[in-house]
Amino acid sequence: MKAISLEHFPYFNDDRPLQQLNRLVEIKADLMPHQVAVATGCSLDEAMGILLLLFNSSLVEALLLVYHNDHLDAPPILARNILDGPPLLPFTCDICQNEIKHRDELSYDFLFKKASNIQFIA
Amino acid sequence: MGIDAFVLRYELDGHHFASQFLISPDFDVGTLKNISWDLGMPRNKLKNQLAEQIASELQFASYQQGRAIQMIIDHLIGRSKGWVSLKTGQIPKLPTCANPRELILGRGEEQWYGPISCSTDVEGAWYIRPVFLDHYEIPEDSSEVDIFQIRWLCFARVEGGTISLHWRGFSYAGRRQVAKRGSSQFPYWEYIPALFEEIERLTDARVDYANLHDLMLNDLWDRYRENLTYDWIDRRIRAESSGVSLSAHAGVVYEIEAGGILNLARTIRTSVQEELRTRYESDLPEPSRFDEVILKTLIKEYGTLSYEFSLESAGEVIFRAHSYFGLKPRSKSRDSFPHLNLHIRYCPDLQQLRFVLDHLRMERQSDESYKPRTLPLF
Repeated sequence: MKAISLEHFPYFNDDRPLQQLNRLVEIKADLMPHQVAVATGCSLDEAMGILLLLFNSSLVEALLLVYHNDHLDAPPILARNILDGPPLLPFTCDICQNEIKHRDELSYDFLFKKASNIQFIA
Repeated sequence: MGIDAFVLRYELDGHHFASQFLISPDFDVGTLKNISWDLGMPRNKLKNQLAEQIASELQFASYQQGRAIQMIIDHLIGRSKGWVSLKTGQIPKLPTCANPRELILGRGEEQWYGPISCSTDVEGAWYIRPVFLDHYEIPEDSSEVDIFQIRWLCFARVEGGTISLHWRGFSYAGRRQVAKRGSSQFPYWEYIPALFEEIERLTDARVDYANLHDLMLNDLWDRYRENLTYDWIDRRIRAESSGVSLSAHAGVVYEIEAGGILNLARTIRTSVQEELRTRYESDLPEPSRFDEVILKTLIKEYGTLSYEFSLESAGEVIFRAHSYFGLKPRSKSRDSFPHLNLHIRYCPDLQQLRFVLDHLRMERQSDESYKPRTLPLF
């Protein structure tokens, strides 16, 4: 079990959000930033900061999820290693079979997959 | 053609324009009746008749014209809009912008109008911002596509350390291809953030979006959900949850209606209950308690993007809204910024807004000492 200090995240100085966060990482194999934000009440920036902290500590693997803006409620069309960056254009969407030519046809989000057991401390 | 927005079909100005504006969906029959009442006119008329009689007061520059314009603007602002987004922080000034009478007697320009005092909201200072949108229509007797403009109005309300933007939604054909298929939802998410930036520049505001997910799922949840004086009713959730595998299907946005999510919770609880009984000869105490635990887990820990619930007391709706948490700021979608779709049929939007603001104030540590000076109506 790896202990990670959240001293630079004042929101988690309180017991309750800290407990909520620890509960979440205990039961979830992977996390998206909005899941952390909703479960703890922190901002999206704080959630992303915590997840990047874990990534920097090699405790999670990070994926870049790529969505096609024509159907945002559908699953992401690609899941890439975050270090590989966005996909090269053009390419064909697997869901609608349309060719994607411009960056503004795409949206992005992140998925962090747990590689170790994690315990956050204040 | 029946779209719920003001389509500028004719080149008009003066009281002729006003008549078309009053007939448009920006005013409902009830609002026109109230305006007529305030102007001492008969109310038992059809919408177009009400619009004509009100517009007739605007024919000539006079005291009556000024008074009628004042009433129209007052009711235009006072009418519940349904959609709202809010930011909190510090708002040092209330600028004087364009005269809103231009919006009654003509189409106006894409700029802010106000500040305006509203008789039913003495604490807020209001501004109005028109946005002009292309709208494509195919006449019944033709295959040609006609292009009109829609004048959509966005309303800004400033009170203390809060700026809220209010608007009515609608469906329209914003592109030629859409006109051939029908209509699509007006993509307000492409406009509201930019309109916030404008009003913030004008007011020198330093504000941030209200944290709606913390407000709804922690603050209000803890205060009201298990308080027997209130009825908290889950209505709908939209969520995106990560999967277990590394596949491209890791995120799926799913939407569950009220009955669906409760049924899901009960199904899970029933399975656990059955397993305890058959394998361990043990009963689950307080099954409804466990339904609530599962429900809470689904709503709070499964990546909710938006959530709708209603809060009632003694049969009266205090709050009912679908809250979009804005947790996908980089997406070109309704999840890109925090906002609320208020169910105004049950409770006026300003009343629900005050409920939200009261609870935000309990959490916030902003400077509340500045209160904007409201100016008399034009």
